[in-house]
Amino acid sequence: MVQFDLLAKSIRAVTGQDKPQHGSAMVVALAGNPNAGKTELFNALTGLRSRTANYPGTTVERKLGYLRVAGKAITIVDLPGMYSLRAVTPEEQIAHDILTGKHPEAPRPDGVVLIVDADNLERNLFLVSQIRELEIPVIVALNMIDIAERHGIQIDAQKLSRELHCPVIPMVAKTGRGVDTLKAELERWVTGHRPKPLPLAFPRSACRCDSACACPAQFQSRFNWSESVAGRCLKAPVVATGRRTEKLDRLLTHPVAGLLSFLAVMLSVFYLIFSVASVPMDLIDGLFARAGDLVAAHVPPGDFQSLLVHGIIGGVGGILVFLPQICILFFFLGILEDSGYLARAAFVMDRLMRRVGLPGTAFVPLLSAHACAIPAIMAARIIKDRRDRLVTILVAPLMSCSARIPVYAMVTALLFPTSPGKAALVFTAAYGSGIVAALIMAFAFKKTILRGETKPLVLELPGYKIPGLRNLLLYTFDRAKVFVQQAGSIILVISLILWALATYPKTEPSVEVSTLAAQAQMENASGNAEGGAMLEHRAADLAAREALAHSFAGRLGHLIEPVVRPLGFDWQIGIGIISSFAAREVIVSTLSIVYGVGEDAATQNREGLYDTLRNATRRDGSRVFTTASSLSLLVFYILAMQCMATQVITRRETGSWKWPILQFSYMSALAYGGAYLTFQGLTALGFG
Amino acid sequence: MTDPGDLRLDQLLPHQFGVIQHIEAPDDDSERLMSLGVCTGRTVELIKAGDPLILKVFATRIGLSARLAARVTVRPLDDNPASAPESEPSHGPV
Repeated sequence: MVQFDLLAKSIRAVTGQDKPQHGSAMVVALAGNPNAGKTELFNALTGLRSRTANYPGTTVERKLGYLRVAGKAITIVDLPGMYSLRAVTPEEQIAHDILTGKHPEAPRPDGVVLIVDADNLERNLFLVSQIRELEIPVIVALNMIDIAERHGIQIDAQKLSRELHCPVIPMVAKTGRGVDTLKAELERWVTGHRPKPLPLAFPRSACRCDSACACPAQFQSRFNWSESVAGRCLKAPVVATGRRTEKLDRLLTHPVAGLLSFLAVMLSVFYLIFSVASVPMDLIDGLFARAGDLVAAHVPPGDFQSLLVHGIIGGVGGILVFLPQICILFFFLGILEDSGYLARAAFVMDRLMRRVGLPGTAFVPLLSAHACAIPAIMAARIIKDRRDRLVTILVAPLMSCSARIPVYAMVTALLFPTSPGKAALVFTAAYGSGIVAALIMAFAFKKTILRGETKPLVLELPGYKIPGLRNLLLYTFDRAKVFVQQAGSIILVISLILWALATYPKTEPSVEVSTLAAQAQMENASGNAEGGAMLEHRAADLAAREALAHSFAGRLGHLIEPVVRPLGFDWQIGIGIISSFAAREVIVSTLSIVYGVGEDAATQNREGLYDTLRNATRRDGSRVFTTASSLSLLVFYILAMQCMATQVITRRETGSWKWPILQFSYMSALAYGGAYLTFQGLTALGFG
Repeated sequence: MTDPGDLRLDQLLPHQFGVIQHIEAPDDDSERLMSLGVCTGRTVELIKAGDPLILKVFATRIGLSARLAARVTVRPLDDNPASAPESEPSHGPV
């Protein structure tokens, strides 16, 4: 019973009982430059024995892993990547605080494993010089020596070890080469042979300030030191490096060719998300439908059955159905990032995106949002500046995600049942409107509440590499886990609330329903099973329709009717809108129920549903779905924030409820205003 | 300190080398530059002109917006540093 297992996990995640019990003998921090292969080493050391959380009060990820050496447990803390100990970004601030023992929550580590990129020794030694001054035991992991060797760089590790007064272990974290030597060194530490750190013979600069000083003289003297140390430890003079990188860069950072390559790459990823993901998504959908049927067959009908089938199984299924898209997106994002390509993509998009006040990196999450806003908002982590990241998160849900497709399909079918050309035009216009709205809003946010210049681009373009599969899989697994645990639990609670709103209070079946049921029994008794079944079905549909109309959700629908009437909607559409605040696509099945076609019609008999909707009338006899009201509904769904899951993820990624509330408010206002203008404008033009 | 021959970083020609003289940018921008190695006294090579441009310092390629590059003063080197004995034996020209 997968879902119960999941439920239990979700509850544990909410109540915070999933903290592993461990009596760790030692805490070791993993530090290093970005792109030096820190995550690869973390994965090589800890594998699946890790967990991810945020540092309290921040959105910086805290990754902890566990490792057993000589029968003793070692906790590995993966510090955020940093170029220097000076805290410029929130990530660097946390890394700095932990290493210096100033972090209020995390204890000072017992030692540091410092990852150094062998292919870029001089620059990496800068951070080494700063951390070696902290009086904390250090092991230098000289990573990516395979790439360095291929570039003709031969480093004398023993000499470097003597220069730095600490062990230096050459390794290739991706393949595991040298990792055992590191473990052996950690074993010495954990069995009590941790050396007292010797002070580093570092020439002081003219300015008498500490390691965290930012004056140019500090940087200058440290870099001079790095260069002389590297010069002494290189066995052979370095010949030309990076020819291949330069050739690739000439294409991939070209203003036109680079842009086209990037679009081609993103379209392929996008295509895979839609095409490949649909198979497991259908499978998950089918699995949960079957589980629902199974429960319905074994549990007597009633509230409990409905709670199990619609509340829990439907709720969990509604969450898990997003998983394939999330996994595929993050797997490919991992490839783009680890190969070094993502930096080039950000580079070529930077100038275009800057016009609306967003950095080049924002393009990836915004494009991903066309599949689903949830992974897009999670992917916004690649944007380093907080303000830029917030703007991207706020506007990402305006992109037409796949959950809007059923609604778009319904409206186009209502408007142009026989004209595929016009239907395609409506679809394209819907996608285009979402993109334009997002760019306008991004610009507006930059001019108002998130005022400020986009940070000028300063971005390392790392050498191209072939990504390691283990790293990719662990990254994907980690993202999926975050989604299921953190969003899943809250989404489940919300779907239970919505289920209750649509189910209670109960009403007695009306005279009509009882009459139909009685007629059905008579038909059955007289041997006309077919007629009996049909009547039973009609009775059930009518009962469901009445139950929904009298439920809290139905009453809310009536309550908001005056509000949605200027948009051309009636109370039935009102219920649809309320129910689709959990997830947009729910409106199709809700409309099937409220217009009395039966819930099954939403999946099995679309044409029957569309016919009914087309002919649906108000009390005064006028049609509900005119051109004006249909387009108004379309505009509403393009712009409205109707996805609890997205809101939960926005809360998680921004660290405060303020942002999801703002996101909800501005998008609702935009949706209402847009739908109002559409309906009133078209009515005035005679399309009512 | 200043020399009439000094240029703005974005004025270097592709594959021309220059020694950083001065960075006149807001603190966090200049710290980001300096921690990546774009720091007074370092020799940099312009790989690709434009906005953003690409710069090489040590073995690192850095994408940099022209707006920020314009705030960095460099003294152009006529020859590349591999043939200039006074400069460092870093990862040389390509």
